[in-house]
Amino acid sequence: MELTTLDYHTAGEPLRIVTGGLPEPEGDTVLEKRLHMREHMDRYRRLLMLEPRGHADMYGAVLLPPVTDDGDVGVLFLHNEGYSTMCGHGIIALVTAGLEHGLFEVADPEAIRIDTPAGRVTARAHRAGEGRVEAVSFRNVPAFVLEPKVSVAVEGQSIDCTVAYGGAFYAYTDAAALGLELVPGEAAEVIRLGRLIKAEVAERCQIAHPEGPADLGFLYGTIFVRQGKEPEHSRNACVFAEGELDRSPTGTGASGRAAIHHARGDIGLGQELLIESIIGSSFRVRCLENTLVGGIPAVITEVTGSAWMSGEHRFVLDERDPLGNGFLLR
Amino acid sequence: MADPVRTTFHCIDAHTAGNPVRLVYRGAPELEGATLLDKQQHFVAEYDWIRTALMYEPRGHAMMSGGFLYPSRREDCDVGILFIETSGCLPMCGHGTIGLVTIAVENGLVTPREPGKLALETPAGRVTVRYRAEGRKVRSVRLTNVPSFLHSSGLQIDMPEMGGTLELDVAYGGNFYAIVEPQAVYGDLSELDATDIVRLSRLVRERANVKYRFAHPDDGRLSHMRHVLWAGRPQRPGADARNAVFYGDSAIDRSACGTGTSSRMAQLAARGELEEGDTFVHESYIGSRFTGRIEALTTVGDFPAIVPSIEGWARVYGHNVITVDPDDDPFWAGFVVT
Repeated sequence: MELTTLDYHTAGEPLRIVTGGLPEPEGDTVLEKRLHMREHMDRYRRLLMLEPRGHADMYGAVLLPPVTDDGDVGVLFLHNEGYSTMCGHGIIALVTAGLEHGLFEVADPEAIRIDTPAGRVTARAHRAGEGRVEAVSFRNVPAFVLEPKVSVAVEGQSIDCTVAYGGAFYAYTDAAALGLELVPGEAAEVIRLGRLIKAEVAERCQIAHPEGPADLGFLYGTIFVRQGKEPEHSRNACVFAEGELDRSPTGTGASGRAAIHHARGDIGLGQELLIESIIGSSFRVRCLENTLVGGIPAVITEVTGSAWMSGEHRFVLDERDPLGNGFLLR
Repeated sequence: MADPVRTTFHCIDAHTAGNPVRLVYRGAPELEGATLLDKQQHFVAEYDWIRTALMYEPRGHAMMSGGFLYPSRREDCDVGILFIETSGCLPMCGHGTIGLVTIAVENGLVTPREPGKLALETPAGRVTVRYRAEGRKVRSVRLTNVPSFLHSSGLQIDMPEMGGTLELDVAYGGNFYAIVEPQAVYGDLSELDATDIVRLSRLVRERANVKYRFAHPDDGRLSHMRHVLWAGRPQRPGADARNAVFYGDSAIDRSACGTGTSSRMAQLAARGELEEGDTFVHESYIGSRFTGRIEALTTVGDFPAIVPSIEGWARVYGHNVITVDPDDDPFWAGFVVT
């Protein structure tokens, strides 16, 4: 066993991109390949994401040949529990690493077409010549509000949530109502409450994508929101998968935020929101156009952020190692 | 502090019974000083950014630890080791020693004068190890640790979060450990999940350090209690006891903890529950094991002490090239989320 990876981080959140050693997942669509990897190749996810090679907050990507005629590249996203449907910080790191290291061919750098499990995402790099990629903007899958208000009881307190989709479904809730500032020292409490709220909302709310396949119909996480002084400025903390805490402002979560504010009439098309993460890094997001998803009003959003390289890895497995296939303690 | 510059670090990563160990074999700074403790002081003053860049996220994580090899000026040592982890530089690290020796021997980074034996200079002093080879691989490493002793017993701190007063002992096994054994407000380690261990350990450490002082009689620079050891009953047959060690901001040792096991054996020996020559099989929070043994009895200052040895295994899992660019990456020095 030998797996090579190129590791980047987007606004603090890791992306471990597999560059060698992995058999190709089978299937005609990205969702079929995702299912194949989950059912037949999950060993590799555990090797790369879990301890000792990874940790509870590790995130990864597997590059695939495009599944569409005009696609440049396909991608699967990995985390501590399984496989996500779309990942904004992942797209930003993937495009940055892809261009800086020539990981895949790109027909048009102004419109890099990526096939994700949730569908087509189109990205453009902010780059001077062949130099470093300063930032990446991506046009996300349509984002929409599924449930404007879901009330759940958490530790005796009634909490109002909004369920929205921006590539994955999240329950959004006000951090201040729970006494949270969303600073790094609160991580343990944010994770604990995030897991409780996700379980309650998933219990109470039917989660299904109006047009997409059943595979997209699950609640991925909880996003706590703290409004800043300016209306365009806020902070997100996203707890997803098995208590994983996003270090970035969460790209798909930012798209969902834009959809919520657009639906409420807080922002118009083109108006930009600046969303910070729990560690103070930031993404910008804006709504580009209106659309419909299964009759529900939706918006096409664009998210912008930056990624940086952290290392190159060649992972091995000692055949005598009883823990080397991966374990998780959170 | 020396100005941080864009640096590429070459590392080999292993884990000792589940706990990671990152040996940095290229990219380490040149350090001044006659001893490894002097070198450690130079490192802390000038190069601590290297530690945070390699241990903290996004290049490391809360559990990361590691070290560098340096030549030793001591006639009786083969090589020097400087330990790094998320909380700082440790004078001695048991799982780190087992991992670093395994990586160094398997990859030819150190040449033992006598196969199967190495003498290491650590900031805490001379540590000797014996290892068992399996072809080019290392099967296990037994290290003879620094003299370990029970520093104080029956200390009491208020822990209303647990329902009252918590009693603890503090022992030294290369680092100072607060040892918490089952008592009225603490039934067993099996009652605590990972979140509980982190939350309660922070309080225990803070309150014990406010109320009491801990210093090594031979060198006052070895002071401050940073580790909390929760003792409990083993979950599998063949082990004598179980433990979980908290350190850093939010780390739980995945191994049974070498210096923690030494401290625990010193505590048990001081109570007459272990004698010279006895072995002590210690189970970690995830079920892996170290085997300790009391090699000899000695004294440290006025404290009765033991010379413990710890045997465990490490396995290499990665060869990593880590880039740190202070001019470009806003998180080049790493960050902590707790």
